[in-house]
Amino acid sequence: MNKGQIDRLIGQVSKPVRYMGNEYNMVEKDPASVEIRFAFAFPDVYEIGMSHLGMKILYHLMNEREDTYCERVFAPWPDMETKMREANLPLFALETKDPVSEFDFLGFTLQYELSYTNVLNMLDLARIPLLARDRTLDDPFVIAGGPCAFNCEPLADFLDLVALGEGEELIGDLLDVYKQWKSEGGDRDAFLLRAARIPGIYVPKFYDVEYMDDGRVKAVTPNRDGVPSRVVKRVVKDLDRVYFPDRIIVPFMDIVHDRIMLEIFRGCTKGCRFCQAGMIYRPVRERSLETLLDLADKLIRSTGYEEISLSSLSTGDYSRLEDLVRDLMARHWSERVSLSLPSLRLDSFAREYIEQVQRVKKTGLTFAPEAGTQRLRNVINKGITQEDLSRSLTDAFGSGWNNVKLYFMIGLPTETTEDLEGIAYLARMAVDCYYGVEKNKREKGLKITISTSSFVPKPFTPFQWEPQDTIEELREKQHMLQKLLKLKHVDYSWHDPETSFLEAVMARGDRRIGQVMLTAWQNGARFDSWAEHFSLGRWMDAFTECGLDPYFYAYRKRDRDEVLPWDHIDTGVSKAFLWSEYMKALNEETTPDCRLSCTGCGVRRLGEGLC
Amino acid sequence: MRVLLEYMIGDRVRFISHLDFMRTIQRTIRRAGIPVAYSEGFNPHPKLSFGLPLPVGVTSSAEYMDIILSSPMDTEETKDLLNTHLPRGIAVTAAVGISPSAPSLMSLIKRADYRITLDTALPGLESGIQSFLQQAEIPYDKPGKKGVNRINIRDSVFSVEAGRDARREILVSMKTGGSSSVKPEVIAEKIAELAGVEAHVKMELTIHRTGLYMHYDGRWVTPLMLKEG
Repeated sequence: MNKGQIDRLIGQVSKPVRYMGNEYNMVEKDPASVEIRFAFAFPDVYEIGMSHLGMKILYHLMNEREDTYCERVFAPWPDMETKMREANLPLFALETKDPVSEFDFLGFTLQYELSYTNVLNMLDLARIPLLARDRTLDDPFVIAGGPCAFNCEPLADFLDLVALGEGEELIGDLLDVYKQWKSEGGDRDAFLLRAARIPGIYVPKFYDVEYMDDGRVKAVTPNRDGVPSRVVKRVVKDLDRVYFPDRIIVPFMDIVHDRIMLEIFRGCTKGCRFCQAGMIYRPVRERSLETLLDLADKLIRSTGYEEISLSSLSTGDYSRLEDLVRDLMARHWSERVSLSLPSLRLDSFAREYIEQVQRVKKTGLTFAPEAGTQRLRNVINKGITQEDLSRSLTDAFGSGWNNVKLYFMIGLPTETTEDLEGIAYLARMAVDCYYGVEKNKREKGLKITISTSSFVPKPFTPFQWEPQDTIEELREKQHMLQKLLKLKHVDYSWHDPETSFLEAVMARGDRRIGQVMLTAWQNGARFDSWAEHFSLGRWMDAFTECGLDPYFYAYRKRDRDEVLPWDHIDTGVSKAFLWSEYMKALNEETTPDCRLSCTGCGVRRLGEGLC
Repeated sequence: MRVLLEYMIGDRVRFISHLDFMRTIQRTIRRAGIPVAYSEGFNPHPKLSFGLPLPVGVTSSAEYMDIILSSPMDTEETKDLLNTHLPRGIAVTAAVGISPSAPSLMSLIKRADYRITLDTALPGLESGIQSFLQQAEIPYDKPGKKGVNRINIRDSVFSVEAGRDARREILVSMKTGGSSSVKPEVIAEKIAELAGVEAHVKMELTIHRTGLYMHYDGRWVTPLMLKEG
């Protein structure tokens, strides 16, 4: 199929610009002039995938290499999928519109569990055999990375390779090894064996999983010589020296995060016990103020973006946040470039910052106390007090904000009715804070949004042994909150507990889930993170068909000694540390920020001088 | 200083919407360092105004917009700087200074010309065009906000003729704005119907806008006529 035919087809679907490419700063190369073609895939639609910082970094990094051409591919929306299947058009890359089956690599980034069926669907649309064992030398190597790659066992049968941890250095090693293998010749296993020796590369087929009669994992053992028994994640040591693109693609369409994302640091020292990102991205490494200001200059010039956001897990903890905000505003105000500060933590929130940011743009403010009472906040180690929240809210209202969101989780370990009532108490307190501000200093039209998500126990966190609340329990809690939050100025929104349930199953799934996923996909599952496409029934049928019990994965409390399906993956944080954090949680004991003193999580093993 | 720009939208970017284009031009202006004037207030936006929005999927040889500069800049330099920083597929073809008090482009543009190309040749196309022109009344149910509206589409065109490839190309000159304006494909479909294509057959069309015009001194001219001095 030629480009004209593809264009014709694109013209018949919704949002055709998703499939057009040709954006400013898109990299164009002659595919005949490179040795390696890499298709970087995000298993969701364009506007979500293009909002992802990791993809921007790796896309431009790979394209710095003369021997490599990295292109992009996103999940076609169902109307496009239908057209593609009717027209027999295989999945193509945005840059050249060439079929991705012709590429050397197809790399997926796994950002959330409910995107997994899109991975299968994209492989199928690309006409690449779904199962890794069915692929031949004519097929690309399928690789996955991103946070969900740390426990990618549910996808193990479909992946040739998995990249663990930060990709900037790892990807170069992998491409070098690939080039060497390609020039020497050999079968697929010959390449995979070499790749498995690169630190951070996990080749699932080189590991056998044994199960006990009751369904628990008995052991995961390498089945080849020269393959590590535990795969350790990769970490970049110095964020000032590691690659960060100074030009990024500027999409035509309005994407979810349509702005420059300036990554100010990686990792997080707070140690919230539910938070997987806070555990797997350790240790904390900051970019220097000078590097950030320089990057911001270059990125504004090369993209023309009107907004910069500071990106990290906990922006308020950046050691020179005040200087950074002030300098960025001073340099770029004349070009009307605005600044947004996401996930700002309460305890480091100061009136000064609010006023700085206000100079350009005032959007809604978001706070995440996560739990309604101090007791439960101690359990999850969220070191925010009611006084912190009260002070921050009063500051915000006094500075002209009138639209505030408070995020909470329900279904947290040890949660009681009192904790739910605590959420309503904090909502009322927020309203009181507003009315506590002098009338002529506050903005009219107060709106407090209380939003609850449902707790999903994640691997590599202190709560990885915990059962999830059942769908019914979560629904009851949501009903209770609906009643408690019928308050003036207060809106309540909540997440569908059915998707949280499936997320819990996938997050802690083992390899046997792969069969269930395949069955669910064959029965039509895709875009599971989109309410209009999600069907729990389809998944429950697939579990029944495969003879597996989803409750075993979501609702079962694990023992200390249980072999977890992801125990052969090493994030640096030790299982012993996670267990001790779990025990402290149950005792309502907190653990201080590890910037204050080392809490011995184990990540120091990953290298000298990391933290 | 107010600068009128003429620009083209090529095949590479034909699926961008009018909103996509507006965002793109704002970012291009920032990349190019053009001294555009901004509105006051908490959400300042650059002072730009546009002519007739181009439908998604349609390419164009001549679109128009104007920008207000906060300090003067040579029009040729403005054009060159923009062209250096525009995405490939969009190019400024002319830039002229116009009076700050000139009416808006939106209100001036009254005529849009299109070249519509049929994917497959239609031997009766010319006779279809003749038959279209000979009728005084061609009813069409135009979908609107309050249900359909019956209009006469013969009234919405100034002229229609066959293009160089007389079995595939329709050149149509259409009225813009007003209640009788329709999308160019509506005219093409009607002509095809008059040429014997059954109404339910979906035709593959490629549509290109060849120009936008305003009425001045008894003749049709492009907005570049607004050039001052």
